[in-house]
Amino acid sequence: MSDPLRVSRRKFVQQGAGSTAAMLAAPFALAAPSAARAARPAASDRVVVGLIGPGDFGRRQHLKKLLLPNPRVRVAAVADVDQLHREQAALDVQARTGQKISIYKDFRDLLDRPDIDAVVIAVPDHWHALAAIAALEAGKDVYCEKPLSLTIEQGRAMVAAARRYGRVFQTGSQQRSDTHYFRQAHELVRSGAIGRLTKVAVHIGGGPAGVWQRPQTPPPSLDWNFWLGPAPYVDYTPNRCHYLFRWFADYSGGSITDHGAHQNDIAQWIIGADDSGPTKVEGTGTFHENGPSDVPARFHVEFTYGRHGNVPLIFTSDPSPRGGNLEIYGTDGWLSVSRRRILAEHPEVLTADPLPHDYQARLTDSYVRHYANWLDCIQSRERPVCDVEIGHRSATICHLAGIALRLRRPLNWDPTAEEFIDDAPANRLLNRPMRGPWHL
Amino acid sequence: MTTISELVMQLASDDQVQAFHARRTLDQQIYQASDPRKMGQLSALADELAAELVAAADPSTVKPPMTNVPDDVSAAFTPKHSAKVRRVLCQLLAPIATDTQVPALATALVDLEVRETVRGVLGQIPTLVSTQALLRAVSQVGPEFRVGVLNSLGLERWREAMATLMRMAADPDLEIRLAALEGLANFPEVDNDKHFVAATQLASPRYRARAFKARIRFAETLRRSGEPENAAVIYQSIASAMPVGPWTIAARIGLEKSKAQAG
Repeated sequence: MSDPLRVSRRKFVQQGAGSTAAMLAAPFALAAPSAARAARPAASDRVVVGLIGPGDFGRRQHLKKLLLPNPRVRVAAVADVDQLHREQAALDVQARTGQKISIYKDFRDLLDRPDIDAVVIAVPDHWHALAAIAALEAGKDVYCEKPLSLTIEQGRAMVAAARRYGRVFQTGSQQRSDTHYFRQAHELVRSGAIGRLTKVAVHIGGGPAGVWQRPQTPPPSLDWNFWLGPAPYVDYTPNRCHYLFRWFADYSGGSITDHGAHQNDIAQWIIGADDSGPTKVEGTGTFHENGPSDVPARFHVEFTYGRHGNVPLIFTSDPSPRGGNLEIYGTDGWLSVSRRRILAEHPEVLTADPLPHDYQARLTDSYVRHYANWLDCIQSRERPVCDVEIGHRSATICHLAGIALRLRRPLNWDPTAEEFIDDAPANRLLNRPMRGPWHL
Repeated sequence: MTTISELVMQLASDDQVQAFHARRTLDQQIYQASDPRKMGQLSALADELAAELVAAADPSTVKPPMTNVPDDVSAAFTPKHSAKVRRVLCQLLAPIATDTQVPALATALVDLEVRETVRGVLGQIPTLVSTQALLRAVSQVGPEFRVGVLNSLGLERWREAMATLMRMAADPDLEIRLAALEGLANFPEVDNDKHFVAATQLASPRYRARAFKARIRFAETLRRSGEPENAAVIYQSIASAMPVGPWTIAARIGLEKSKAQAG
């Protein structure tokens, strides 16, 4: 006779976390995985994962460093519009596990599989919303790479879908799971170690101009029309496709949304605006004079957080005075933070650093913890450290910057209604038409 | 100063950098003119771009008219600009077009090479005039294009759009039918539930699943529109329906939210 109180993780997940109360989910599980959870679970209790987009980053980071070595996960399938990507990924899985997995060109076929619990989405930005919403509606938990969305409207639709289906959604902003620099900066600000917060400055570089190429026939392995999906049709050139897509406005926002999504995520966290945002934005910038990249090359954007003590956030491509990606100013001192180190005007406020000073090791550690947090939450049905709402709000900062740089005028933003105030033309930039048959 | 017409010509340049410069200049002019205090400038700019979109080629260069094609195709003009340039013009118009440009856009909506992009522009204009242009396109040839039109109509808020979606929700082409349902899900009209219920009986598991998901969205639209009691009835129906699927969980969640909202 079966024991009704003993429910396997698989059954627990398939039943939608057992209770609706859990689905409605208390925010924020702890970032650190417990030792027991980190141990190798029974095969039947591993989270069965599908990887959508095992190309560049999807393969070398998600598949090879995070999924395949993870004892809590079994990779069951991959989907990619490039045959070379999906076949290579399948070979990677076979080499590591000895298992042959299914490969799909169309991610919707992967999502039809009831045995897959969760998906990792590492496709180009213009596909994030469509892939993630389809996954959520198929009952999968989701880990989606940053920047969460291509437009603010897409991000809001992703949040709505996650809540509608009660799914766990981790945004791939792994700096949230960094155990020392970023978390320490956040805790120092929260504890008042630098006094009252007076300003946050995010410094990232610009993006490359790229090189011009003549349109050409796509390689036989690539379904170019599918790769474009909802984006406007253009003839194929390699420099718009894998990895390089991020320098083209049809698919991404350039460094503003690429690296900017990471650092603005921490800025929002430090300001305390995870479920909110700024009230004003204004910026100036330049674009690459001769292309082909058509996203901002250099920029300086200023936000005001009117609902958070009027704290200004500066977002710029200029180098910072101390080399950090985040310069945090308080009435009693400053902090300078990056993935490589943390500095303080008064060094005595800093705690001892338990981790080795190895950049790659630190980066990998934060990814591993971010994944562990996601997997913990799949089990507990709590919201992860970078829940979809947080990811959406962080991406919104980046999108607001992009809109302000194009319009070159001060904009008033209502973070509750998520629209510009008294500016219909600006509000038209909150979404973009999608090429059929794709739609939100 | 380079005119709009000259800039549009440069979009077609074989010199990729020159074409890039032209696009950049047009983008800048649009964004500068989009300041709410300069709406007159924006309207004039949009008019010029729309005129270029439907500008006819020099008659001396036009080929003989096509034969053995549908009337709406044979009636189409021979455009001055390439399809690539016309698509760029649509992208430029998408954030700024208003009712004033709808006649030109409606003309371009029968242009097979760019109609899908034009459809996207019309979908961005939040007025009944643009909706009516889209309604006329529902009967055009090409199921994929019609699906796109239905997607756009689903984002409208006019009863005319809803009436067409209701009609298309009985279309024999299941892609058309489901696209119509997915659009209808955005309209808070409880009487439409019968269309969703019927589609959840479809034999195809994939279409049936889409119907359930659309019905979940429909219930949420009702709940968010202040009709939690009507939403709860639909959620309850989905929660107890077969087959069980992700929508079952969504229905339970929606039911709890509806009950909480109804107090």
